[in-house]
Amino acid sequence: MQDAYPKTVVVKDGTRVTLRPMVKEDEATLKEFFASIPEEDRWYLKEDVADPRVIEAWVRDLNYDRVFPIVAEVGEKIVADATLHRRIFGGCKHVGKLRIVVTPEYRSKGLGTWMTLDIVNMAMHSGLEKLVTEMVADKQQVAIDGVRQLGFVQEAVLPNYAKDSQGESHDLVIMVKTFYPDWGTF
Amino acid sequence: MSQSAESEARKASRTTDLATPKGVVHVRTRCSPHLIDSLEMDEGLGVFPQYRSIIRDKDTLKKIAGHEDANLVIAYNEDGKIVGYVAFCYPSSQERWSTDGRGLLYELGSIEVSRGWRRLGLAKKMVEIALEDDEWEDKILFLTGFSWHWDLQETGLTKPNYRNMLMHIFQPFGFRHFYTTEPNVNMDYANMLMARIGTRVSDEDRERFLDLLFAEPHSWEPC
Repeated sequence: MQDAYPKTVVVKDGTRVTLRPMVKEDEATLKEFFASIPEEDRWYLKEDVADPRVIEAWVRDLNYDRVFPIVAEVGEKIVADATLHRRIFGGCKHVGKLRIVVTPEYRSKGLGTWMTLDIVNMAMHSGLEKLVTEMVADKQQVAIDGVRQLGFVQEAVLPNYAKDSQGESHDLVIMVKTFYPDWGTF
Repeated sequence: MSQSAESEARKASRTTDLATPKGVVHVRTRCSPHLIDSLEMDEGLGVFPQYRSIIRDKDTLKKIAGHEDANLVIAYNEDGKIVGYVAFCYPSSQERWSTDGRGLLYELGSIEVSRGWRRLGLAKKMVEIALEDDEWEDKILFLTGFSWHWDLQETGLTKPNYRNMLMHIFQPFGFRHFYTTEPNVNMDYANMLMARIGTRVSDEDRERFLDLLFAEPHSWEPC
C-alpha cells in the first residue's frame, strides 16, 4: 500500500498537495508544522506536540504497523498530519483510530477531507472493520461535521468529558465508521 | 510504412491463447461485431439473485464492437462461449471526463469474467494484451470501480477485499489510485478511480487531468 504514494490532491483554491507517509527526515518540518497549530487546538491533542521531544520520539519510533502517519506537503512545508493507529493484538485489533491535524491556513479547503479519506483507504486496505475518532464538541465541530459526511456516525457522547484550557467542560463525541462487508439484503 | 498505415497496423486485432485447467481460452482484441455474432454468451454472464453482469447480451457487445473508437477485448473458450470481456471506449458525453475533447482520456468502461471462469488469470490476460498497443503511451486511461457492480456473492469477498483484488489486477500495468470529487466515486467508501498515465503524456496534460479529477461538484462540503 505504501507504494501507492506519493498521491496528489487538489484543494479548493487549486493548490496541489502531496500526501505521503511520514519518514524520519521529516522531524524538523514536523516541528515547524506543529508550532504553527494554535495553542487552543493543540490543547485537545493526545500529546504535547509543542515539546520537541514528542516529535523526536515519533520519528525515532516509526512503526507503520502500529501507527501509520500521513503528512500533507506543499513545497517543503508540512500542512497537515493524519494518523491511523492500530492494535496488533486483542479484541479491538479490528478497530483503527484516526487522528488528524490541519494547519489553519489549509482548513476549509478540503484537505481534511482528503486526509481522512486516505486514512479510510489505508484502514480498509489493512483489513480493519471500524475506524474511530474522538472529537470535542463545540471545539472541533467542523471536523465532526466533516467526518460525518464521509460516513462516520456518532456512536457515543461522553458528557462533560474534556476540559478546555480555562477549565470549562465539553462533551467528547465518538465518531465511528464501519466498513460493511457487503450490501446486505433489503 | 506510411504513418497512417502504421497507425492502422497498430490498431490491428490480436489473439493470444491462454491454457487454463478448464481448457484453452482465446483472448482477442478489437473484436468485430461479426466475431461476436459467431459466439454465444457463457451462462456465467447474466442475472443472478444478488448480481447482474454489466453486459448480459451479445447485442450490447456487438454495439460496442461496432463503435469506431472502441476496443472490445473478448475471452472465449473452445466451445465458442464468451467467458470474459473488457470494453475500452471514449468517456460518455454525460461525464466530466469527456470535457477533454481531444481524445486524451480513454476509459476502461467495463471488465468481467464469467462465473466459473474466474481465478484463472483471464482478467489480467485481457488487460495485458489490450495494453500492448503503443498508443496508450499518448493517453490517460482511467477506470472507475463501483462496488454495487461487484459479484460479492460468488467471489465470497468483502467490498474492501474485492477492491483490493481489482487494484492488484491493474497496478502491475501502471494504474494508480487517484482521489476525485466525482460524486459517483464518492457514493461508497469502496468505490475507486484508477488511471494509467502514458509515458508520452505531457506535464500540462497531467495537470489538466488533476484539475478534472478535482473539479466541482464535490459530493460533500469539504472541511
